[in-house]
Order: sequence, then structure tokens, then C-alpha cells
Amino acid sequence: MTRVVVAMSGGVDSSVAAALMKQQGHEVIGVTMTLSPNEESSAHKGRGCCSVWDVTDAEKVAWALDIPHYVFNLRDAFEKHVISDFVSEYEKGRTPNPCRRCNQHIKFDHLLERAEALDAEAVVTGHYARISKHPTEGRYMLLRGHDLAKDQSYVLASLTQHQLSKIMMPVGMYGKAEIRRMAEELNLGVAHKKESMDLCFIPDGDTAGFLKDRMKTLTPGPIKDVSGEILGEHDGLGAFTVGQRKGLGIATGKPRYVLELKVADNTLVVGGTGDLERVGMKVDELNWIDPTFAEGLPQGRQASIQYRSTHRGAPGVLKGTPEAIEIDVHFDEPQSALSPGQAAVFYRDDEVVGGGTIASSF
Amino acid sequence: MSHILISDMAHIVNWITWEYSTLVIYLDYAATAPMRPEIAEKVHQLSLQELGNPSSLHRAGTRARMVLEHARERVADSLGAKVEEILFCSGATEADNLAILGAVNHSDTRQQHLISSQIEHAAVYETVKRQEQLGRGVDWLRVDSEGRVELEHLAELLEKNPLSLVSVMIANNEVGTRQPVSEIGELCRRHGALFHADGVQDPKTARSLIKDGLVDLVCLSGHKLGGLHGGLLYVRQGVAINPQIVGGSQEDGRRAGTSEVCRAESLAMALEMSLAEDARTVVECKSILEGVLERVEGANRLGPEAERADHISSWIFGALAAEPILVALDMKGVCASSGSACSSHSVEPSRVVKAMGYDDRQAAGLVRFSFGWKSDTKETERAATIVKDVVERLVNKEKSRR
Repeated sequence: MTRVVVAMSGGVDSSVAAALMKQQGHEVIGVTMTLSPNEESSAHKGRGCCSVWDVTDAEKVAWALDIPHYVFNLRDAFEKHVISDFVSEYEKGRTPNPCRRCNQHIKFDHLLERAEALDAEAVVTGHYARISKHPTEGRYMLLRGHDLAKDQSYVLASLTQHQLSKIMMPVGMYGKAEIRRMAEELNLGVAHKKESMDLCFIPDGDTAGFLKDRMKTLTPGPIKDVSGEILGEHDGLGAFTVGQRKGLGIATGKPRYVLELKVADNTLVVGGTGDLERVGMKVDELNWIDPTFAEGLPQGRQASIQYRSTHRGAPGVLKGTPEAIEIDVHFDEPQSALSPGQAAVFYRDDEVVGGGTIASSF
Repeated sequence: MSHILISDMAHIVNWITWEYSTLVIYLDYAATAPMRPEIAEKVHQLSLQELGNPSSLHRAGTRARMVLEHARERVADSLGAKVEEILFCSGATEADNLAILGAVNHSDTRQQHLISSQIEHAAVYETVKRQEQLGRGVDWLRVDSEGRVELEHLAELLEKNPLSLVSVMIANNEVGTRQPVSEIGELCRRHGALFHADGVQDPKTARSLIKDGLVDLVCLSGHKLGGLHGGLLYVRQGVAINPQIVGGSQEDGRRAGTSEVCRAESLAMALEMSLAEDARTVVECKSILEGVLERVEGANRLGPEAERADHISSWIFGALAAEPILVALDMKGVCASSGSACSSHSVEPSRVVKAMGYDDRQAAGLVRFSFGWKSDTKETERAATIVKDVVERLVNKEKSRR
């Protein structure tokens, strides 16, 4: 029997993860992290505070499973590493992925540290991804979840070998439907809980409003087409994302997409679908889960590259050196909407061999 | 969004039986105390007596009124107060609110300026802060590194605004520091200011303040003393109070809502019993723990040596955060706490420790141990060893990580 810490959000997946670990005979400690700010202020806005009630949900599940449960306050770290990064990335005209940042800087780092302090051997999460040990090479592999529709490996590509050796994701080998059924059988009360789609720190889903509150400056500027002709005005580059079509406020007869956010001259460049297409991109902030893969980079390495959480990967070639801080990715076919700031994750079949952040496209 | 209901999880039969520790040592009396069996017994008996509403004319109501008024007499007697100076309410938070808001909102109260401190319990601090936000004149007293408000500063402020209501607690709930309340009382008297003192952590000093006529408003709480939840407000005769919970004319028209008979009786008993107890065992337990923790590398006890509540011992252990210490202690059966908790019971940096001049990181490291009527020395020795082990282990882990 080993002692494990399960990160419980109060949702279906992590609740079942905790139950599975307990069934397997582990000594399970449930933990819920409080991350979002504004706990006090939201109480007065006439809507219950999401985070407090989610913590209560997680604790109730822990009671049902008869396991201890603690709350870890990671608000300061979350504010520092995730929220301020989220805002400053948008300020730089990039499109951040806060869940990935959270996994990278908050969840696993802090949880592993806390778990160690409790003499626990592993941290367990309810992610739809799989971790296994390579049969011959001994290294740890991060694999797509069995349920491809729910797969979350894309936001986990910053995990290191050391972290992978201490993390378990028992939900990853099941489908969502199976997990819901298990939750129902276990009578955990969470089986029909709605899935949260919004960012946890923007519970009302109003990202633009959140950014407006947080950003120092939002200056109106021109919207131009590729030829430089002015089509309209935007009220601040703020929350625009490459590939975005809605909310541009211009009528040109045919659909227009955001192509580029030119922060230097505060210009939003738009164009048609064809203009969105790019043959490649530069990727930095690299992490190689399989170091042997990176060794082949000078010769060019084939991989399937996923560049959005909802995308399923496009074939291409990676070029660079194993130690490079930035590499080039050439797609076999042109791709549309490569957004700087988003993660680029490299797959060999189902396996995540590495990943990084999109710096620019070409 | 729907949330989980315990009642939907019909199979919860064993209410928290975590097998990790069968030992439980309770060191959190400053948060709440286990109920005294005598009080539990009395409340049980009273509950079965078909007592009416104490405001009713009939015999059932009269019986209830008798219990209620007898409890009030005993509370008054314990504190050296008059019966009409004792007002029962739901708890000390309500009593604090009623004291401050009730006084300043009464048209007879000339003392309209507020003076308080950053080390007050949230019941006072948040009440005063909100008044400040609403535009009332408020001054915050300077606090020294031992958590004591500065008398010279109070004197200065009272020179400027003699007609103030001063709210300073008797003993701080997070670090135990006793405030110079007699001196504050004298100063207020001299300037014609009103003095409200939260006495929750130190009813004995509350009693002597009342007896010496140095205080106008005092609140106390039952559950910290081994009784039911429920509080009282002492309002010196002649001080005007407006009800803050409005409705019927119970409690002399100063606190509406059906008077709670069991709560009043419990409060009377808890006060009688704790005022009669001598502090020897509690002090002994505290020094056993402190004797062990003083030898832990990097351990730093907060607050003064002498002028400190008998039952509170608060620490910062180097750069360690309180949260992992408290969790590790709980896993070993030792119940301690941090100064303050938010609604999701996660640990927040202590406002009190920050006011004492410590930084945010240190303020998040506050670990408080507190003792009470049921504490014993054997148990405390055991707990002290556990605390020492846990802290040293965490310090070593922290070192090896660097």
C-alpha cells in the first residue's frame, strides 16, 4: 500500500480517480487547490463563489470515500505565474493557454512538493492522458488518453521525466462514459455534474471583460487588410486571437479573420481564409519528454504537431538541434490559425515526445 | 451550477474514520473548545422540559423566562455587572457588531469617530473597515513587533478626536498578546471616549475591567469556554445601543429574536466554570510545548513573554508555510491551526502577523497552538514531540530541495 495524493477538483474525473486509487488499495489523501482570486468579492455579486463550493464538493466526495481531504491555498503562485502571464501575453499580442501554464508552474510543482512533505509517493490527477514506463529504455512516456475526444495530453507536454515518474493518471485509460458510469455506481453524487468549460479564474466566461479590467492600456487602433487598407477600428488589441472571426465589427461582405496582432503599431491585420494559411512556425520554450527524439533534430524529425487544444495534429518535420532554444516546424500541408503563445506539442503516434510554445509563424 | 449533496450519498455511514491516526490531541481551544459534560447534561435536561417562548405569558413561557433570567443574573454576577447590562446574542461576532454599530448609530451617542487596530478579530476589523469605506472617520492604531497597540499613539489620536469609540481586544486571538486595556480604559475615560473590548480570549481580564469600571462594551463567547455557541454583550449602564437585528423587543429592545434559553444557561455555566478554574494546568501545558519547540532550529515564537494569554502559543518556523505543517500534524492526529482561515478553510497570510511588521511569507507561516479546560500535560508532551518531528522533517526536506 502506497500513500498517494489525489488532486480533487470536485468534478467527475478527479473524484473517480480518487475512488480508483482507493479501490486499488492505496492510502489516499485528497487535496483541493484554491487558485482563483476574488473569493471575497464574488460573494457580494449575487452569485455564489465557484471556488468555495467546488472545494466543498471535493470535500464531500472525500467524505464519501472516507479519505482525508485538505485544501491547499496556491492563490499567490497562481496569480504570479498564471493570471499575470495570461494578461501580459495578451498585451504582447499572443494567445496564452493558462491551463498549460498552470500545469507547468503550479499544479505539479507545488503538488509534488506538498506530496513529498506528506511522505506520499505519487500525485494522482483526473487528466485524460496516460503515463507509462518504456519497456526497454526505462524512460517515462506521456500518451494521449484512451478517449481521444477527451484527451488532455496537449496541456501536459511540459512535464519532465522526474515529474512523470511521480504522477499517475488512472482516468486516462477509460472513456468519459465509463468514468461517468463508475461515478454513478460509486454513488459519488458527481456523476451528472456539468463540465466546466470556462477558465477557472473567469467563471462568468467574459474573458474580454476580465482583460479590460486587468490590462493597463487598451488603445483603439486601426484594422487593416493585408494590403494595408484601413477597414475599421478596434478598441484595443486586447483579447483578439489569430484565426478569430467573430467580434471584429467590420462588414466587408466576405468572412474576415484575424491574421496578426501588430503590437508595435497597434494594428489588427485581417484577411480571408486563404491568408491565414502558413507552412511553418518557430517554437520556443521547448521540453523534450523523450530526449532521444531530440537527438535526431539536425537531420529533421517527422512528427504529428498539435497546435491548439481542439486540434488533433498535422504531420510535419521538426528541424533544429537538441539544445536549441527555438526550432523550426515545417508542415506537410499549409495550416491555418497558428497563434503565437499557444502550445505546440509533438506526437509520435499517441506518444508526446515533446512540446513548446509557438513564437511565430511563416 | 449544481453541487454535490451529502444526502445523495446515502452510503456515508462512517463519518470520517481515517485510519491514519487514532490518536487525537486537540490544541485549538482558541478556535473552539470541546463541550463540558456538565453543560451538555444541563442542556440535554433543559431541552426535554418543554420550555415555552420566554416572551409568552403562560406557564411554559414563564418557566423558560425563569431559566433565561437566572442565567442572566449569574452572568452578571460572574462579571461584576448589573443584570440590565447583560445582553444575550448569537455569538461574539454579533456582539462585536452590535457594540460598534449599535453605539455609533444611536442618536444619543456623541462618540462618532472610530479608533481600532489591524490586529482585531475580523468581527471588529471588518466592521470598522466597512464604516471607514462608508465615510466614517476612522483611525488605526500603530502596533509594535510583539502585537501590542501603542498607547502613545492612542493618546495622540484621542487628543485629536476625544469623542471616539475605541475598539481594542483584550487578548489577541492569533498570537495571544494582551493589550494594555486598563491604560486604554483610563485614556478613554479621561477623554470622554467609549471603550469597546473584545474579551473572547480572556474573560478573566474582561471581568476585572468591568469591575474597575474601565470599559463600556465587552463581548464574550460561550463556545470558546466549553459551552454551546452563543455570546453576550456587556453594555455599561448609560451607554446607548441601537438594535442591529430588528424585530421584537427581546433583550430590552436591543436585540430582536426569540431569546435562546439553553444558550443563555450554557453561557452562564461556561463562564462560572472557566472563571473559577485556575490556569495552572493550561500554563504548564503551554510551557511544556514551548520548552520543546524553543530547541527547534529556526523556530520563532511570536508575542511577548509575559503579557500574553495563558493558553495561546504561536510560532513561525523559519521560512516554512503553515499549511504543510498543519496538514502533516493533522495526519498525525494533532489539531492545531493557523491564525485565520477563509471560507474554503485554506490558510491565508495572517493580517495580525503582518501588522506586527513581518513579511507576507512569514505571515503565511503562523502556527497557533492553544490549550483549555481539557488539556493535560501527558498529552501535551506527546504532541510537542510530534510537532518537533514534523517541523524538523519539513525543514530537512526544504533544505534538501535547495
